[in-house]
Amino acid sequence: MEPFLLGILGAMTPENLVYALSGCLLGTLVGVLPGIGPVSCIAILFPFTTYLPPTGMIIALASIYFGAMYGGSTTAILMNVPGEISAVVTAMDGHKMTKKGRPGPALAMAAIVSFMAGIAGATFVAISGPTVARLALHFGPAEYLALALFSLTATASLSGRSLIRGGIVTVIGLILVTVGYDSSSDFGRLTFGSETLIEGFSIAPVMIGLFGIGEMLRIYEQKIGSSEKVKIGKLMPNRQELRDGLAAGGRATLWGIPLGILPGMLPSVTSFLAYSFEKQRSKTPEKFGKGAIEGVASAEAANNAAAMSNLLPLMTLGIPTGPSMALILGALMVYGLMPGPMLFTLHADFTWTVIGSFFVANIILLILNLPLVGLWARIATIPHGILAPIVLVLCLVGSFSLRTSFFDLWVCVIFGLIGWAVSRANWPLAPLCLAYVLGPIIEESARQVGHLGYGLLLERPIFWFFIFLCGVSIWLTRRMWAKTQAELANSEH
Amino acid sequence: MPIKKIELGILFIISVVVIADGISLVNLDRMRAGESGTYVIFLGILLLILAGLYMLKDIPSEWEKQPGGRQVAEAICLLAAYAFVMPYLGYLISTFLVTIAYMVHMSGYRWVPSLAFAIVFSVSTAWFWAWLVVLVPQGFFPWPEV
Repeated sequence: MEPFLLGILGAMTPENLVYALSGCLLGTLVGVLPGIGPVSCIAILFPFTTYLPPTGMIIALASIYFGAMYGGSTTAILMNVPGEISAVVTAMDGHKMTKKGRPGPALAMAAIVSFMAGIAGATFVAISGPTVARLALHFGPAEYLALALFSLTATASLSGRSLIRGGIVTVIGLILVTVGYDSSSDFGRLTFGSETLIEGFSIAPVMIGLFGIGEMLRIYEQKIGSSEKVKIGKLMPNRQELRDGLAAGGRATLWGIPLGILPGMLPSVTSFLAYSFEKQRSKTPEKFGKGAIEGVASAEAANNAAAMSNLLPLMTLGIPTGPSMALILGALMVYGLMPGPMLFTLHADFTWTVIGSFFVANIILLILNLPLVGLWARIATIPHGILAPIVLVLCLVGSFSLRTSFFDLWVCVIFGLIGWAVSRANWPLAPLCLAYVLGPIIEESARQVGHLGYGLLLERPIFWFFIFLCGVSIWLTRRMWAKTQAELANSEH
Repeated sequence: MPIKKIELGILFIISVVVIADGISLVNLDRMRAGESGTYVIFLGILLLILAGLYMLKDIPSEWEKQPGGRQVAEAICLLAAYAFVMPYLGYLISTFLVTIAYMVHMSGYRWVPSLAFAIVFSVSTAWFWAWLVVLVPQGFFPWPEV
């Protein structure tokens, strides 16, 4: 308990409070912009956090992520423009409430249950983090290899309708990260004699291009956005709505937390599952999809609980479970930080301060979101013509600033085009992002296993457990995907 | 040409290039180069197999023609121009030019508000980056100096 309290105190220092507040503000600010979800938001903003000290950087990144999750629900509810797939479920009932003239209660409920789920998720990370980290200390290269493969297969199978496409994108991500100088062999790979390519593709311009510029181009093409001004009106839900919403949010939080720690179980999938569970157990399922506050509450709570528990595998094992976490890991790697079990032992002060900041960030977000909801709604109506040059300039400056390389500017533009084309053809981008970050871990672990002898694998039951989970995840997630798609189709009708 | 054929063509080209690069590394016959090359060959073969499966399976391409294609091409050209001129003109001037081009040409704003916005945006962000000590290209007009 003592380290936890010290962590809270550490997070409350004026410096860390400023990082958390700035992260929450920036995350919400960018998150409310139509069409920009948490992944794009982190991609656009993470280069600027690398100027902060390590603690400040991870606090700011986590706050940006939470802020973007909160902000995404605002546009989903007010404009029916979900920033990412997880907010699609929120939009289904939230926007119907707006059409019925009750956007205030929908926004307030989203903020309240997000706070509740965020605090529950942070508590879960604080309680289980040290235990998982202790277990992870027994992990060797074989276990890390299998865990990384599990994370990749789960994400590839969950992030789109076609497993083959997910697999192709994953392999392309693994190939891209091999471009450049290979320190273990002392040779360049896939450089074709180019001295520029020897440095490889830095993660920042690749991710900013894929998720920042690619997304802006998609928004521009589809003219996503609205200049429609929505009157928020009365903010707080009535007593019955509050009771129903909180109960649904509580149940969804219980779903979201355990699901969030599973690789590939993106907040979007968790939202779909929690929503369909809530609809099935409801006595009035016909209300869902027509403006039921339980629909908004379940989707938002599951989404935010999963977003928080996603941080557990990242912090204890150094393994990201989805693209947002992969970007956070990528940002930490740019700074030379590698999360893993040692965080809870060698860098306990740092870790507990970061965990403490999760609580602080959630409180800040609740304070920001309820009274300032009108302001966020106005920001969300900024015309695309003004928004696009701002975001595009941010993207290019962010790409350039990390290595002050003009090559990175071109990498960003080219990957922007690739990102737009890939999402335009409905191929998933999440596995590419994850593969890009996990590629070096997979290669290094495979090499170490090779040096130790493959016979070693026979003595590693955890390795086989994760390999078994790879197969199970492919089979199970295909079934779940089909089911949630059917649920969604039913709700839309 | 159907989109799926283009997708497959790109995937097969990438696979072949990757495998060829891996083979060239293995053929170097130096310590650890073989190991490094084998991993690359493995990835190339994996991509080849998956591309083959994608070809054989009945998975249609989901690319649909949309009316905004021309605008996207223009936006990409504008970005490429921005990346091209930034080293020479520096952040301030290139950002001013690209913002005004975007607002007038692509968003349809009138010249005067676009000019005003471009000046305010480029000057304020240039100053902001300098204040944050974020390095941006300076070009021939290094203002404000970091």
